[in-house]
Amino acid sequence: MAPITVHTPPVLQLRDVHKHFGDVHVLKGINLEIFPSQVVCLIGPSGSGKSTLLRCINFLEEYDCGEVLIFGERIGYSTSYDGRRVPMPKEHIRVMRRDLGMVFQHFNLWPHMTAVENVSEAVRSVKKKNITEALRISRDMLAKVGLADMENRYPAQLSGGQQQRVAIARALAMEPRIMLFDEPTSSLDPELVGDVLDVMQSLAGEGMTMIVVTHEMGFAAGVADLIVFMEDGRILEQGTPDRIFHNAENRRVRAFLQSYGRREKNAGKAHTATNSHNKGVCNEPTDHHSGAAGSRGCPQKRTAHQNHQHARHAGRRYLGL
Amino acid sequence: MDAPHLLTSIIHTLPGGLLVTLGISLLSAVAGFVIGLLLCWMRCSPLCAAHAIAGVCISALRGIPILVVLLLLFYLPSAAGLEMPSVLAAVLALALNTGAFQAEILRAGFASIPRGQLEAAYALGLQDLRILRRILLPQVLGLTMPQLVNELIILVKNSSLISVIAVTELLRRSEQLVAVTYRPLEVYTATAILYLAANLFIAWSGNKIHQRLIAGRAG
Repeated sequence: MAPITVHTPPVLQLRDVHKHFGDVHVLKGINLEIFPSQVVCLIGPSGSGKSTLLRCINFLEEYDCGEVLIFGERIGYSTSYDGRRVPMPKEHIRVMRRDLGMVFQHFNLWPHMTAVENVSEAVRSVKKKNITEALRISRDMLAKVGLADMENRYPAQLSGGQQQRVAIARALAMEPRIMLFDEPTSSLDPELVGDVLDVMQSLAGEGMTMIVVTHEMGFAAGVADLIVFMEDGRILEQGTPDRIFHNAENRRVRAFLQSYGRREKNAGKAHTATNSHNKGVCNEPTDHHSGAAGSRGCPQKRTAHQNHQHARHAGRRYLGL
Repeated sequence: MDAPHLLTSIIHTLPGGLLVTLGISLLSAVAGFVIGLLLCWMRCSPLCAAHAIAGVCISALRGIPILVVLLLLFYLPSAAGLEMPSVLAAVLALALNTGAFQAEILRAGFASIPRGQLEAAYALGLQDLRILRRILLPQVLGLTMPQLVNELIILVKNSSLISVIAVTELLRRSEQLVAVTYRPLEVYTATAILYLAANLFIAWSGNKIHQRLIAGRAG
């Protein structure tokens, strides 16, 4: 059967994005395209600009030049009649951010509100739902992340993993089209990491477009469609988990991944299983979305679920889990 | 004047004055809170001009005695041909003074809220006023309640100064009573007790409100 090629426009495009913090050049020309339902993991050493890049996407961080396009629209700046870059009105940025959910390393829950209040706050004030409706949506979301019985707890009464799941529910309640995760498990006890990753995996299975900054190589190998390796403000290499973890061209990438321990060794045997599920690289949109019906509005239609299941198992085996 | 008579006239005169004192203090405290919030917002603004203006205002209002501000506010408008009601001048003078101090208290409160909480609110698309009302103020009030209560107590005591522009608050009434009875010792002792009682009550209720604001958060 000949592969059907569907040209799907990218949901997110970064073009030559540069960013300085004072004299420090943290992003040195980032180019990246992300397609609907794609799960992208940004990996690389600390200080390589991964988090900054993520924060430029929803304009929590201003970028100095280049452009970040969300569904084709540039966030943060517009171009004036004479071609100069002018800052976008705050209100417009606010509207654009509704498509982007964000989960932070330190959860950033509001400590004076209960779990359900944390989730319902933006549903009420930004989505303008009445309180009954907002509470219903929020309870559904808390149930979805496995915290149905915790809705009246304050953040301080929840474990780190539970707090992070509340934060995920808070972002999901806004029905974003892209989810950004900034090291969501880095400040958790090892025991609690699994709960959060499970929620993220099932989200990926539902076809959510996700960009994840992570040091969880097992998750990256198992769930991601695309791995982007960053170092020193540049993308050194990007490709499928298979390619990055086993056939990385860049020596630095290979060295970095080797440092993640001897478990890697077992992986060589398992990885062949994933070959048939190779989902393409980001630079080739036509190939990448072969067979994907995921159009902009309804990513769920994509039949990526089995792919994720396979990939996940492969990932587990890959790390000898 | 014999003792029972004196007591009766104290009871008839002073509590009314205490109510005026508390009313004006409360009004000034609320107005001062708004002024404080405004100064604090300007002080934290990235605009150099706003930052500088707020800095000058805070220094000036903290550095000039309330009595001087009060007299200026009372006499300047009348020099320009306008009539300044003494109660308005009183509330303004007290509000400006407490506003400058409250601005500094609030600034410390806002500074202690982790930036991540704001980022989460921005990322969700919350509007600035909503963030202030729902995210920041409840926490800042909880954190700074002890200092704000302290400031309110100082304000109640400072409000005795407004007797000089003929606002009949507690001290003014005491003076009037002394002028009639020639019994300063008893009358001023009663005045002191009333001030003390009012401030003890404010401290006590402030403590209760503080406990309620931080309830649940400790886990």
